[in-house]
Amino acid sequence: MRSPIRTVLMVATVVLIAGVAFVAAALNPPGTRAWLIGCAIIATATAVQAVTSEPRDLIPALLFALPPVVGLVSRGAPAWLGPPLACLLLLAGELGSLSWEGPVRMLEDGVLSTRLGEAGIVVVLGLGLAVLLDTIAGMGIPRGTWTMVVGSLGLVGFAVITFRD
Amino acid sequence: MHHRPDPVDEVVVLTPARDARLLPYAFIALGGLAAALAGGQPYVATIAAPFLVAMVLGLRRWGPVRVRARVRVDRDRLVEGDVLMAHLEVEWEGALDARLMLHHLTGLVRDGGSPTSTTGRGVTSLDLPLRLQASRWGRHTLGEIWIRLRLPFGLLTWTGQVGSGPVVRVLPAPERLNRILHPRESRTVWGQHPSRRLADGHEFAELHPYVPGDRLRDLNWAATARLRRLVVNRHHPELAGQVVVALDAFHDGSAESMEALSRAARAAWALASLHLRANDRVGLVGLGGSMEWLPPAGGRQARYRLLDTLLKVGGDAADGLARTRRYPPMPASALMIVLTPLHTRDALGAVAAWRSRGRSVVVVVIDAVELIESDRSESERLGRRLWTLERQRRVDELRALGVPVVVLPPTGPITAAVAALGRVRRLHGRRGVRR
Repeated sequence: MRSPIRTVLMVATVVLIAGVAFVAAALNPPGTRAWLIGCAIIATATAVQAVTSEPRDLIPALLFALPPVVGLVSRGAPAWLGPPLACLLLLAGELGSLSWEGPVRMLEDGVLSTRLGEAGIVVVLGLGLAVLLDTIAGMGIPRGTWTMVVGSLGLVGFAVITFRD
Repeated sequence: MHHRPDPVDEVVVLTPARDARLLPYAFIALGGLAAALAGGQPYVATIAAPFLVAMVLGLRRWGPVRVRARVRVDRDRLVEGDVLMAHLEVEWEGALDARLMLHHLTGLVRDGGSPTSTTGRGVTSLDLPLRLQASRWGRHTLGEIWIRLRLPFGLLTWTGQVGSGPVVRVLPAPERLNRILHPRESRTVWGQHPSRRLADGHEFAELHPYVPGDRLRDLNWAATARLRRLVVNRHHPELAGQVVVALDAFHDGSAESMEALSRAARAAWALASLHLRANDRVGLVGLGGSMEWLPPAGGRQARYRLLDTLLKVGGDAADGLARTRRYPPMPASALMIVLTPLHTRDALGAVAAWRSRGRSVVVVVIDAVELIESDRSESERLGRRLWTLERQRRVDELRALGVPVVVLPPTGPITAAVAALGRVRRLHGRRGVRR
C-alpha cells in the first residue's frame, strides 16, 4: 500500500516530465512538432512505468523528454526556455528517486524535507550554471562550440576539486 | 548481579553502489556536451548544465567507507519474558547521512515500542539504544545490523550489514515440578527410584526369616512375636536411573505453535532438572531443524551440557515438514519422555522406532489447540475441528503402540500431567510415580 506522500511524489514526477515534454514539443516549429509530441507521449508512458513498477529506471523517460527540449534551440523557437525546462526534468528525476525510497518511515523521519531541500539547491545551482553558460554563449565570448564545451567542463573540474571531500 | 558481556566490535568496509539517478544524469550531461560539440550548438550545453551540477555534487566522494560497529548488551543469558537492554554504536569517517537498522530479530521482540532503526544527517556516528524482550527460548543472535550511508546531494550509497550482534541465550521460564517418573531399570548408584532388587533402602519389600548376617535393626518385632521366630524386614533400595527427554521442536510458524514449543521447553527443562537432582543420568534428543542428541549423563556438568543442547534445539527449531530420520539408539534401561505438540508426524516416527526396539517411552502432548484464538469464521471453526481430530488420531496411534500418553494443557502446573502419566503407566503395568 502506497503512502500519500509517495503518491504525491510519483504524480509530481510524471506531471513534470509530461509537462516539460509536451510544452517543449508544442513550442517547436510545426515541421518537427508531430515527431516531438510522439516523443512526449513515450516519455510520459515510460515515466508512469518507472514510478509504478520495476525496474525503477527513469532513463527512458528523461531521454524521450529531452528531444523536445533540445529542439528549442532550432530557429523560431524560444531557446531561452531550454535551461529552465532542463531544470524541471532534473527536479522530476529527484522526485522520482525520492518516491522510490521504500520505507514510509524514512519519508517521515525528516528525510523528505531534507531531500527536497537538496533537490531545490541542485536545481537552483543547475539553473545558475545554465544561465551563466547561456549568457556567455549569447555574448559570443569565447567563440565556438568547442570553447563552450571546454569552458563548461573546466567549470565542472573546478567544482569537483573545490567540493570533493 | 548479571554478568555483563564484553562488547562485540566489528569493522566492515562498504563499497559504494550507484543511485538510480546516476546513469540518466551522466547520460544527459555527457550526451548534451557531446551533442553540443557534434552539432556546433553551444545552447545544447546549457541544457546539460543542471545535470552536470547534480553529478558534481553527487560524486564528491566515491571511495569505500570503513565502518566500525559495536554492540553492547547488558547480559547474554535471559529467561523467557526478560527484557534485554542493548546498545548499537556505529561510526565511520566523514560526515554522511545515515540510517541504522536492526533486522531479523529471532527469539526477541521489541519491548514497549522501542525503535529498531534510527537516522542521522551529516553525522559520523549513530547510536541506537534497544529494549528487547526475550520471547522464545533458545540460542539467538541479536539480529543483523544494517546501515545505509549517503553523501548529502549524493548519487552513491553505501549499504551493508555491519554486524550480527552477540549470541544471547534465552532460558525456558521456570516450571514447578515435584514428581518424577521412574525408569524401568535402575542403575547401581544411589538415587530416588525404588529398585526391584533387595538391599538397603526405605521402601518395604518383604518379610524374611532371619539369617546370620542380617542386621538386628531390621528385625520386625511384631512379626517375630507372632511367628515365634526371628523375622527381618527386607527393603527395596532407592537407586538412580536413566532418563532421556525428547523434545519435538517442529512448529508451523504460528504464534500458537511457538507458544506450545516454549511450553514444551519449559516442561523439558523442569523434568531434566528434577531428574538430575534425583541423581539420575539425563539425556536429551531434539527433534527439530537439526537433530540434537546428548547421551545421558549426570552431575553439574551434565546440567550445563543439557542446557546448552536445549538452547541449540530452540535455536534450530524449524518450520518444516516431517521427514524420515534415523533416530539415535537409546540406552535399554532409559525412560524416554517425549514432549511434542504433534504438529508433525516426526514424533510418531521416533516413538515407533524406539518402541520397536523395546524402549520404555511415555509421551506428553502439549496442547496447542487451546492456544488458538476463538473461532472467528466458519472455516476457522472447521479448521480447528479438523486439527483436533487429526491430533486425536495421532494420540490414538501412540496409544496403539502401547505408549502412555497425557495431554498437557496450555496453562497450569506440569506436575499434574506428570502425575497423570504415572497413573497411566501403572495401568499399563509399569511402575508409577512417587512423590
